[in-house]
Amino acid sequence: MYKSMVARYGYKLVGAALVAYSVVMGLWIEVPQLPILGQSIRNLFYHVPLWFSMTFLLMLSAGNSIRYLSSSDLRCDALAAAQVRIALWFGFVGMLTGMVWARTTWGAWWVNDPKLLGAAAGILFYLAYEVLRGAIDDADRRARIAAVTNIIFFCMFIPTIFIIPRLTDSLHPGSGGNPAFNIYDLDHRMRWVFYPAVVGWMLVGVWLASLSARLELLHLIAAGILNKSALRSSSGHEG
Amino acid sequence: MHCAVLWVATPAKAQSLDEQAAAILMGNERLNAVILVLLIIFAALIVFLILQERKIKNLEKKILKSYE
Repeated sequence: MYKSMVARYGYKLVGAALVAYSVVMGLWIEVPQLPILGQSIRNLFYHVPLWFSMTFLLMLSAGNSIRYLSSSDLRCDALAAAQVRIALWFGFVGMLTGMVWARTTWGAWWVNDPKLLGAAAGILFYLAYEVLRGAIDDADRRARIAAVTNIIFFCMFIPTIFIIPRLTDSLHPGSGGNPAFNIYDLDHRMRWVFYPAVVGWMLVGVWLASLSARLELLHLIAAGILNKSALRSSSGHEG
Repeated sequence: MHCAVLWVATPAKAQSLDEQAAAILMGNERLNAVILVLLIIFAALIVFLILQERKIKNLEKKILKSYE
């Protein structure tokens, strides 16, 4: 009993604690004083982990789509769909928070920069995925087509958001001649907040997605598509 | 312009003038962007919770109806 409680809530509590730690410490610690960035350098702890978590969730989702294709288990499909949904959520928030940061450092809410356009395109892929899911009524057909699409989109997403911006010039750190995570840029004090923030947001993202997937399962059961027994073995079915 | 006034008004201690100028210029500058970012993230979490709440409510209604 105790063990299963830890197994069920362990990572959620760890994630919540890491996020709480990063929010407090992100405002608390001293940061290097760099021109233009000023105090807004602290956004590294809040804006960047959202994108890392988005990518992590999309990776898990592609994995679940592969699992669906090999098992035809609708629970895998529900999990994949939920992870895309939460990843999109993170993407939108990452976009908005990035815009705030861009306004204060680059002087504009939006610039047509390769990194930003890549991020926008990546989000559009997954919006298309959502549209596709919404367009198919039959649960098994939807799951199969969505799984294939999801795997293809993930293979397109990674180059669009990480590789292409690196090949060109970009204002955004981590692109072109504009690195983000080398020893000159990331202060060692900041690492102690940044990495916990990344792990924390990833865990919270997995948690949010698992909630969304469980709701989806209940929908399928209420609609008579899945049997009640799908619930019994689905606990701890998060990854 | 007031930066220049502060610069003159601050007596030079261990810091060099350049360091003092940097400290004055940095101050709490652009911290409002960080606070806005935190607010957006928090608002998104709350909106997500409200949407989940609504979905659960709909599902409860649906299930209750099916037992009528």
